[in-house]
Amino acid sequence: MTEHQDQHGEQPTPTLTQQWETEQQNWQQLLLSYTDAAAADEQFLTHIGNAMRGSLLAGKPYPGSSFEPNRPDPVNATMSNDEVVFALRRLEGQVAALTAALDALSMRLDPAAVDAP
Amino acid sequence: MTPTPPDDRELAYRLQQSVRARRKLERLREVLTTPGHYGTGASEHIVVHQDNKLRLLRLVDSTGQPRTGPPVLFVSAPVSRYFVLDLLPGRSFVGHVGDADFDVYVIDFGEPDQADRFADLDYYVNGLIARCVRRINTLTGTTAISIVGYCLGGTLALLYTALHPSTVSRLALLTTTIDGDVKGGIPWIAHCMGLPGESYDEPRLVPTVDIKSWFEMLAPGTNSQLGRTSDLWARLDQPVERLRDIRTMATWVDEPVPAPGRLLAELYREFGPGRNGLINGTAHVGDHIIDLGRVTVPVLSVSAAKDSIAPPEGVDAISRVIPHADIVRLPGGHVGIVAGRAATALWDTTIDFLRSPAPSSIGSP
Repeated sequence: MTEHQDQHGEQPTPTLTQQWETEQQNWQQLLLSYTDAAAADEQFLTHIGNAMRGSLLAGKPYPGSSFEPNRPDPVNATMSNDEVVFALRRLEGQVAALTAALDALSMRLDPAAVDAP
Repeated sequence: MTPTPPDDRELAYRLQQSVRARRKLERLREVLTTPGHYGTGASEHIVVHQDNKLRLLRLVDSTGQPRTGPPVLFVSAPVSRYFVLDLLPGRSFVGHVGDADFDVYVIDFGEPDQADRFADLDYYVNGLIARCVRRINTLTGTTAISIVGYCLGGTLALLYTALHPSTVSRLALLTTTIDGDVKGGIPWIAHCMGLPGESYDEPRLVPTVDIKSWFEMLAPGTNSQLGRTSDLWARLDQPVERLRDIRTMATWVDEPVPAPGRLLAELYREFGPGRNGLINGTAHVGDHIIDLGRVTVPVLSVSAAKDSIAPPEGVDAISRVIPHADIVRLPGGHVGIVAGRAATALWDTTIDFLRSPAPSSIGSP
């Protein structure tokens, strides 16, 4: 150590080779931090998979990923049953609208009746 | 043969590249492990109506109370999540309008299931939207409300207004295509490629991967997986806070909603290239012909100069069918003008429109 370095408590500048070795250690730390993150949160792997597809999408796999949920199952997509179910949903909405309209009408005709038990 | 060891200059260069790449990956890990505002609306709200998968949200103030100003209903596209209109605290279109003392309602169409693939235009326009408007009328004691429609949500809002004109006081259409024959946009490209389109009679629930692929079709280079990955790698030089914003936006852009095949088939058949029903006056919803001459309320139509999804010429074409519409073109893209960093231009334009006094004889026959 030189007298100048001793006086100011400075470390000698590491050589390029030393910097390269430190950098390799930093990479190992980084890879370990990724492994730790994957172990701590299983969604992390999904997010890494999304990033590898160029997306920062959070919470769900990128559309088209092999493990994407919610893909329609063609086997369960029976035409007639689903069509009936949807017709019932349409009807349910119409009935709800009709009920709301009747409520509004009765309130207009007899506001006191609305508050009655 | 022993490889030649790198000289100092080469080693220094490699070291610099290594440090840069490592820091990018450190930033990526930090972004991916930090909780953020992803996939949920930013503004406090209550649910005031539910209908199948739809939820009607009413924004509330900091004390949890609904605002008492004029009611405004926001309608977004049913093939995407509503929260693009309510992206982040401090960067929320609907929050901004709420802060301007409007009583803001937002439709969240939710995610359709297999049975909902039979949902058609009539179900959306005369069913879901009509019932939302009635619910708002009941809550506020009004008979007519303002509606703001974004993208395909604007198409639905326009059709609703044409069919139920007495229940709408103002209509703002944001990046809503009127002329389907204008070059650009998904239907036009699909038409040029000769794609068969969705089946009306035997509809499928169109999966998100297909919907994403249509958007990717608009810019095959930059939207490809290679283009996206390269873009993300370049962006990882940015600060973590900025990357979190990008992630919030990615969570909207990259997560569309499965769509009812019957609805898409009908939209393509009625408004797509070759049919162009809004311009030609041939559009139908259910058994009703759409007469845009019935839209006599004040109308604002905003296009985005760099919009590849709804080309601005196709949006501005509203002047051919609703001559009294105010046409505004803003710099930016389809999403950027609504939720980007310069989106306040659109937000304030919309608020000015909603506040402006209603002319007494606009569009009257």
